[in-house]
Amino acid sequence: MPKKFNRFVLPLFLAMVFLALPFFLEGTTWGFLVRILGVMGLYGILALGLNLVLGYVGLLDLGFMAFYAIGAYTTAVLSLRGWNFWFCLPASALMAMGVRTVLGAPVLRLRGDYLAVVTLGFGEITRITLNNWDSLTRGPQGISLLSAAVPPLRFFGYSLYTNTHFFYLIFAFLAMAWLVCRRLDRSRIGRAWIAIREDETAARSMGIHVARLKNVAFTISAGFAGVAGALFARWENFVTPESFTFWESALLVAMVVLGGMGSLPGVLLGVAMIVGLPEFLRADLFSRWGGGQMVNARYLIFGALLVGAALFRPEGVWPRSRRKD
Amino acid sequence: MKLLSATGITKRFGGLTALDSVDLSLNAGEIVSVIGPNGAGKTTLFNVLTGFYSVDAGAITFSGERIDDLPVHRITKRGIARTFQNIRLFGSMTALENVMVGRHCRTRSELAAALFRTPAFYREEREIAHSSLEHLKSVGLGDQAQTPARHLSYGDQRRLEIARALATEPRLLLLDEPNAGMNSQESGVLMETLLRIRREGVTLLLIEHAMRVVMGVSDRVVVLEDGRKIAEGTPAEVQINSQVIEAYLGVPAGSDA
Amino acid sequence: MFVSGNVIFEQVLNGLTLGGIYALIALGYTMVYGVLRMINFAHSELFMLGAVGGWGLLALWPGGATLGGICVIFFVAMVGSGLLALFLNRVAYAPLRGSPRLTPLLSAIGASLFLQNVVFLWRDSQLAFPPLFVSGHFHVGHLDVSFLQTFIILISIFLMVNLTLFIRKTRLGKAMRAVSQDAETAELMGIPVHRVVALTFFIGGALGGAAGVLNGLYYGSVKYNMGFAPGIKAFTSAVLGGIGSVPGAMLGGFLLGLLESLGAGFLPKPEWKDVFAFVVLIIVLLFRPAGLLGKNRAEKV
Repeated sequence: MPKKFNRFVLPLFLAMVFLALPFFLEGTTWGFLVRILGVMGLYGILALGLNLVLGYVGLLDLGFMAFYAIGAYTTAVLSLRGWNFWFCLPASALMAMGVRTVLGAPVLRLRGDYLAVVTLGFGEITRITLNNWDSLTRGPQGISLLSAAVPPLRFFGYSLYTNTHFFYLIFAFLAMAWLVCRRLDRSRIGRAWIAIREDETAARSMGIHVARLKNVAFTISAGFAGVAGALFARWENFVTPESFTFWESALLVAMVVLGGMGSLPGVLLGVAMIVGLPEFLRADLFSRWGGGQMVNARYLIFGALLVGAALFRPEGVWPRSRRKD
Repeated sequence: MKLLSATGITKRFGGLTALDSVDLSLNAGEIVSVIGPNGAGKTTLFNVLTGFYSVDAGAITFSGERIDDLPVHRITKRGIARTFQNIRLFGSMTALENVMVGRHCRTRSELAAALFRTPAFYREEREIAHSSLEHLKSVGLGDQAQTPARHLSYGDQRRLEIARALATEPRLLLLDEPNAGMNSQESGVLMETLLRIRREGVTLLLIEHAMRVVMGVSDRVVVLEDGRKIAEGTPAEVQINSQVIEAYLGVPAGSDA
Repeated sequence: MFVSGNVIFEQVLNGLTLGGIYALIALGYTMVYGVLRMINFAHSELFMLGAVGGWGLLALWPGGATLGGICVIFFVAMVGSGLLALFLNRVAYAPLRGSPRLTPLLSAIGASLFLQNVVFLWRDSQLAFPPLFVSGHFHVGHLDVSFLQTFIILISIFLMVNLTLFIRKTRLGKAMRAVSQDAETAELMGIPVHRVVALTFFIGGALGGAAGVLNGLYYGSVKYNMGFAPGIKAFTSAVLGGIGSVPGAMLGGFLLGLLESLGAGFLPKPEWKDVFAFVVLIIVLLFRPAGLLGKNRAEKV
């Protein structure tokens, strides 16, 4: 049946091809693609998390990277103290969620753009704090986990350290993140979030406890960022505050908006485009097709493409569809 | 039996007194209309009763309990629902989803249930979808279930707001100009709908300008002017009240204002 | 800790200088927000382009700019940034009226990247801004006052006074206020809203361009990515003062400048100054959710 084929067999087939990619790429000149895909996977987890707040509830968050940073540093600091990664991971998620809940309680009362600037401010506060709390974070030098004292990341007896290992690890978590989002989307909670985005006043009159539901979204989204941060810390084995700038937060917002707010496939498409395009325009990739000339102008082209995308697909490149169930 | 009693309700905005010690009481099963010129404070009264505005003085009791210090969502949960004068639907959601949101306060699945898809979750989702569709059908929108709310016609949007409000299982339903923008045939259907809702045990409070609807369905009419209640009584009594006629200056009572 | 009056005075002066620059940029954010309810996130690039443009023009005066030269530079930078703001509105924002609220943010980020990289391709390094004729210090009692700082503060105040007069006294200024109160009604009253919006972009861009030149003079260098940090600060100033409010942006700018320089002077590590500024912002918003001078609009139900 073609319908069943489209809904089930085709995606499964594509997923299998995708998961087999590292086997074909590793060791070839295209091996760096595994790394780029891994980066996309991390941003995918982050963007799905941000989408809960931005896409569903409609709150502009310009400091989301702060929670990625908190997750990454939690894992880095605990790893230095000999913690096993599988304990660091939940610790990172809980730390990010805890900070976010405490922050959310007072600031979620703020309306629209005021909330945006507070999140921006919190993002900056986090980055500057990481940069200057030398005793814990080693300041701008960052924390390196490439020492003998840090136990390697193990998974059922296997050590995980290559890009391919992390590719699978990251995509496993991305799949989980996707599942969580999808289940929330099709639930009473998800409907309430979208109702808040569409009309907060009407949502309140439907008996929705708006403040509480906003905080729930705010908190869960930080969990996504915390997990992504933990993965990032052990993949790079190195964290510095410079990875968590406002610019990164803004790009993350751009990914969600570009893809289509509230649309899960759209969000991942937005990630692939914004993480992928600059790489695509780089010298070492597709150089034989003139990539070399583009290396300096790649962000210029990228910028123009973003403007174009906004103008031609104002609802996003893959907008949320009206589902039928 | 008294369902709602509001006494001495006063609401000020800066120097303006929008409601000046208004008393209102509703018996269970009644249909009461609030009429009055623009700016008389009718919508403000609704906003106070549903908790959107806090009162500056006075008390509101709903089935024996004070509700004037409760937040909006708690008041809905107690059983007061409303529609809005300037339709406020969830535009990108389908008609059915709009009504399903209305079920929020009568259902309980939390995060864990949604994430782990417990049997209780499925049961509740089925119940939500089923009863929402019933509400949609009851206002004649059964075949529009999958249409995004913003693509519905104006009249359908008003009906959808009523269905969504009914989904919260109110005992008291406040309708803010439900007849606005409807032609006379649609008005007739609306009046039938209102009477049917009442038969199902819901008390109704309307703000309405269309006298045909007000006179046709109301048990009692309350007249507001400049934030004060100037008259109250059966439609027939209000129609001949000289103060009311004066308030509507020149507009003969009984015709569509 | 012993703190001499001199040190405090110096920090206040630094703060006012910085604050003047922030305020000028913040005005661009706040005015556009006032008429369109939209944050122009590419605004900081207009500031950068004013600064880099000013640097380019300075080459015309190899021996150091004269007073006349400075006037020309300001004029060109302001008109240039203003026109660019018009262009930005035309290309990246105007076609998006009526689309989802955050889509302009996407085109703003794109435009921002584009503009930065246009300059990057032209000059990718730190560009030295030659010192002004107004270098050195003068003395008030036993206090040292820098000519340059005084110049910057006076210019920024001069521009703000003129802006205020324009908004309060002229027909166009009144039209602008009307649009920011209620664009729909203004349109019905026959105010050409589109032209008022364009004018707002122009003025905001021009003030940003002027701030860019001032910033170049103050720090002695400009670079393609210089817009970013002051842009965030100015945006924060606008929100601190109450976004949409013109006097709010001025107050917010000076306040943030003062907070930052006093923070840098008296906190254990000067790097904490930005933390200090943002913490104050958050606290202010918790108590005054619409900023210091912003009006808290009652919820319309």
